[in-house]
Amino acid sequence: MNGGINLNQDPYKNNDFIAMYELGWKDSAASASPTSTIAHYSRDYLSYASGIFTVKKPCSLKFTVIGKGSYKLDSGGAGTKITFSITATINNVNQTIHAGTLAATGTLTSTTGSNGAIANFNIGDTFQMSITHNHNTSRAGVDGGMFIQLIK
Amino acid sequence: MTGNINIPMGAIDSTSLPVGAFYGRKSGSTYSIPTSGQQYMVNSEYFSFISDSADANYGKFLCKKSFTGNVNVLATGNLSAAGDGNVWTYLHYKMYIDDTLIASETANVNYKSVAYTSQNFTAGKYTYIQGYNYGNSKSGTADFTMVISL
Repeated sequence: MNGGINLNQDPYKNNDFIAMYELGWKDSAASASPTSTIAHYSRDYLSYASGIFTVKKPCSLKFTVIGKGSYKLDSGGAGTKITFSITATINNVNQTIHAGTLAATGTLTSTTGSNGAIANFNIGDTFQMSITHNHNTSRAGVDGGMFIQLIK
Repeated sequence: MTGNINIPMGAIDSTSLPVGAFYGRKSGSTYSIPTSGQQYMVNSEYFSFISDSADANYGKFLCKKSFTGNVNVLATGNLSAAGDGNVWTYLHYKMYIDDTLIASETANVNYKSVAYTSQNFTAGKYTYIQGYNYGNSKSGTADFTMVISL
């Protein structure tokens, strides 16, 4: 008998976009992490609950961060600073795989980060993202997110 | 006996799977595709992205495979350096699917998030967003994120 069964074909190609995570708007005067979220993701590779992604099959993922901040002028003051981090538990080891600050000190506009970071994951590994805005005097708002690509 | 068993290639999971994402910043007071800081990602089965600034369709997603999906638009505004007092900014955007205007939004807020569900995307046609930020005679900047998902 000649025949072939391939149950492991993967329809994804290199650099395919497989997840997006958006941390929603936060409007307050104090440093805070936004709470509302939007998550789109491949169920082939990931599961998601309460801000934490869990990897379902071995893969390398590339993270690109976006961040946006602004503030209201009624209290004066200057720019919004956004601090972000992407942390992961890989092989039971907690680690930061990408982190930085998107600063706009002294201006009325924020900046956008576009750094990419790649990490290798196994089944059961997890990752998550957090952002915080920091402004001392004004009501400020911020949101941020990450685009995630599959690297083959 | 000679034969082949043909099992279809594993389909991409179709529950809220992102197949295209766009981010860009726009200044000025007229509608156009945000180009500053532009970021994009696609699932290559469904879209390509026109990243050549010399192309007339620069900044647009070109659909490669017809499907029905959803679009999430997130817009964030920032006042200009000149400022205009104690008001929020006005966000303006137009969102096109299949080269057709689907939504035209103007809102006196700094942040707006809208979901457009059950939209039809046709192979060979373009999807994109145009926008700007302008309020009380002052122009600022606006950041736009658009995510297309199955």
